[in-house]
Amino acid sequence: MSRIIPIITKKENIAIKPYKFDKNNYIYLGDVINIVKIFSDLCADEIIVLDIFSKLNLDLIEKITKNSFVPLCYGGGIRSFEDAKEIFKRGVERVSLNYLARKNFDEIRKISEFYGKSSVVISFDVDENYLVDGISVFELVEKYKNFASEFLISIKHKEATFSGIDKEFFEKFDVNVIANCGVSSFEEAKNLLKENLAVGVGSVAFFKNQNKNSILINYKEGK
Amino acid sequence: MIVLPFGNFKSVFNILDFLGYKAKISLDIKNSNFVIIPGVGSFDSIAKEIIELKEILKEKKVLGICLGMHLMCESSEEGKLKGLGFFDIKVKKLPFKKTKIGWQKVEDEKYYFLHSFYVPINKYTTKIVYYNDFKISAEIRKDNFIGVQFHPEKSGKWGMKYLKKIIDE
Repeated sequence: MSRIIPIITKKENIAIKPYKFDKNNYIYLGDVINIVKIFSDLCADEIIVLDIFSKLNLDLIEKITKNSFVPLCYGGGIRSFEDAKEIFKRGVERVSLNYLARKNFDEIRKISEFYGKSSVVISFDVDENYLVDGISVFELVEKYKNFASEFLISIKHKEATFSGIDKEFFEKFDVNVIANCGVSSFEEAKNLLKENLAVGVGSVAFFKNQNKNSILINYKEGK
Repeated sequence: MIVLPFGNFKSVFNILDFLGYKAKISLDIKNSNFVIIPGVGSFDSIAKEIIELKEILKEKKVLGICLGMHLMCESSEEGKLKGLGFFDIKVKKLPFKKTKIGWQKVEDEKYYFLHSFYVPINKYTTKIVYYNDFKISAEIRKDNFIGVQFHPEKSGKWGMKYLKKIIDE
């Protein structure tokens, strides 16, 4: 089902916007709690918060979720079922699992069995050849599709480039997919909704233009 | 008002708190008049705990959300254990390959849905939601029991409106 989903990448309590997945090359956006509140007040379809430095700060997660009355998915630093349990306790609807999908299948199975498939999003960051650590993302999705209700698939080299979503690629999946990286404009995101795609928006959610020199504070849901 | 400590109980508590209601997260429901069973989880993992509360729970006003609603039924295709049986219906698996995730219109409102199991239309159905031509119960009611398939605690201003209505009824 189509949704436009702001993807908020963070470092500690600060929301940042990296370029092409380079953690050393990012723009500072602001306090992550405030940003979540803004998107919640504007009734975003859903919000995804990802700590790209893989640090798990449970107190911060608790403060973040208090400010969202739309669904919130959290990812970053989740290394075990216990981690996931502590996160769900703090008011998160879904967890996004990236590291575990590459390193520990068993923990994913445990989380999925206890919390239900609907609570699990599996996240893959793909390169130009659609590979993750050298493996085809399609193969990986096939392996995990019984344990997750949705896959967040990010095309790394397209992040913050406004180059357009790789629609052809995302249409190949027959599972729920959140197409991430490369959205060029809000118009493009809205058009993708008509094709029944769920779209992650990063730069487009925050910047008025491609030069990224003005912050968009009137993010509107186009419904 | 009590929110049972299952599923996304914190989200439910947060919205009640935001709306100005006094709520507690607890299993001690003896002295409460309104209990909410949150969703998010799997049928069997919560059924085995909630069944202990059945006798006291059935005397209270209860709102079950998503899985919480399913737990108030006889059983679910999602699990092997029995539900509370407050509604004599069985929860079934949605006939779609993909989990339903997203916003749907219900009458003049819209709510967030996240599920792959559902309550078929039955005599207790009071609101319906359509997935194209396939219709299912969005809300079921019987005496002091209410079940909703959607997540009012995550449906923004529409969800807040719904919760206020149910609580103030």
